[in-house]
Amino acid sequence: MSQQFQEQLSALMDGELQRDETMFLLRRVEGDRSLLARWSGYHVARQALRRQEILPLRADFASSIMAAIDAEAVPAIARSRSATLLRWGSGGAIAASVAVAALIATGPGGGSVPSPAGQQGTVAATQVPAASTTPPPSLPAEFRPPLLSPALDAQTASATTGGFSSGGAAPIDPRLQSYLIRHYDAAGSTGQAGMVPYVLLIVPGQAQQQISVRDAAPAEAERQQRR
Amino acid sequence: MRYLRVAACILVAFFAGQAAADDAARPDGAVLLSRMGEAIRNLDYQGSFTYQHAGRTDTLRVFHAGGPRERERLVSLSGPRTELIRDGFNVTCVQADGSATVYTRLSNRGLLPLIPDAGDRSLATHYEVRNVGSDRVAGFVADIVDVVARDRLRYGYRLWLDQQSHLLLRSVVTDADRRPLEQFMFVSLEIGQPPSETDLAPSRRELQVTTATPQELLVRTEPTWSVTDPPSGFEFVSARRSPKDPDGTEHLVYSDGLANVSIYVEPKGDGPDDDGELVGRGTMNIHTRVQGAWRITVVGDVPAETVAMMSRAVARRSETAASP
Repeated sequence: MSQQFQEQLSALMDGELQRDETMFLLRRVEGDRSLLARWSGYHVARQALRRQEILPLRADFASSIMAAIDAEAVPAIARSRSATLLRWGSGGAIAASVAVAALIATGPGGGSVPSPAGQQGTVAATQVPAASTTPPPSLPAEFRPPLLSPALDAQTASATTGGFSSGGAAPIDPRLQSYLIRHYDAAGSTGQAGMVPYVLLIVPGQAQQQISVRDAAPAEAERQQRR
Repeated sequence: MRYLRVAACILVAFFAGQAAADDAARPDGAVLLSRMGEAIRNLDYQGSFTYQHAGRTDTLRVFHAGGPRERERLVSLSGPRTELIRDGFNVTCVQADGSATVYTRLSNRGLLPLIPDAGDRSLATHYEVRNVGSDRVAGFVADIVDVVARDRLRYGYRLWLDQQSHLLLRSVVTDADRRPLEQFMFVSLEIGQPPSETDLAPSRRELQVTTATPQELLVRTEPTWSVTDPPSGFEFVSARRSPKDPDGTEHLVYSDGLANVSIYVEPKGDGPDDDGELVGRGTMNIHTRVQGAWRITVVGDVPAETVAMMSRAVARRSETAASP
């Protein structure tokens, strides 16, 4: 592995690599295990430095990024093909693609539960023991990672494939939409609100989960309240 | 040996003092939160962010023009192309199929997260707010503010605020065990550059627009419904209803100073039999209960147990007064 590729990898991490160079580098990464290992290493180092959860990269992350860049390169054509197109600005697009690809790493269950080895492909070796990510006492422990479920394995960074949105084009339930709008409005007028309001209104409906069909008596919460 | 002990004491005292000085040098977490609210409303910014929730990641783009009449547009970059456009008091939701619904709102509320007035007394009662360090997000150096819930009835938050503008760059919502439930994070962001008119308008020109139900008005008299025994810290904030709604219909709002819960009481009519149904959407939980001829729907940015508790405690005031 030449010094030049190492520098380019570093620049890609910082989102400072030009589009052509990025495409070239990613093609190279796909066929070069040592480059892939170094790239994964950079991610692990960055996550550790930021005291974030270590999330191994998917083996096909390079193709995901290239797909996103391709989609961005021809917006006019892509728009005519599909309304669900990534529309990142050119400046931050590559860095954003990388960021999203990094988020696609698998991490089912709690942080101490390793991902199934079979799904990790060549990046399994990059997994770092959880102990090495323990933050210093001056900071609270970093959150555990159940944000990403095994179902996420099937999700791609690029929306152009529509992989996770099949059937998701149905408009949000009008009743729920009305409830949410009025809820955010009422919360805002009092100067108070939860986090990320309105985003729920425009992300696909699959996020909606049926927690229980019928009321499971939440005795636990009542116990908490009595304390 | 004695000199060694003295030297050790001096060293310990030095480092302890240094740590205290570092803490003192950090801006107060509560102050940062109040500045964040102002920044989100007043600044011009545009950027892309990821939103991780319920086992999936979505990417969105936001354009925001600050000032007295805020204008914003939120666009989904992944999945079906949906948009939300806000122009002053009007909010338009554009679905992937081209249908659009326009809502007129009571408040001048932004699309991105807001946080309560940090001076709110109840906030300190139920949450601990701390500035816990610094980090870098989307190229900006950020202060990290922890908002830790003191019980299991509400969520906690970790917020990353730009050190210069105090704009929110990243947020993580956590449960009582500090496990992340959802996360929002800018991956690219420009601050101070006003968006163009094109960026603030719907991308589709032909929309099938419908107007939502008439806006709600504040109920000045005592509301018909109430939560008889709300979970600790949640207090009644306001009651609203639309003039066209039948008598008894109400939208009640309860808050603990940060988390908000809306309670919609509506005639059951011929609607679905969803008595006891509990639905989650991100960290938003929705509990539905049928009580006689009424459907009670509780919507809140709180744990499922909390919305269920509040749902079961909703009663007509007359019934409340009659009970011993």
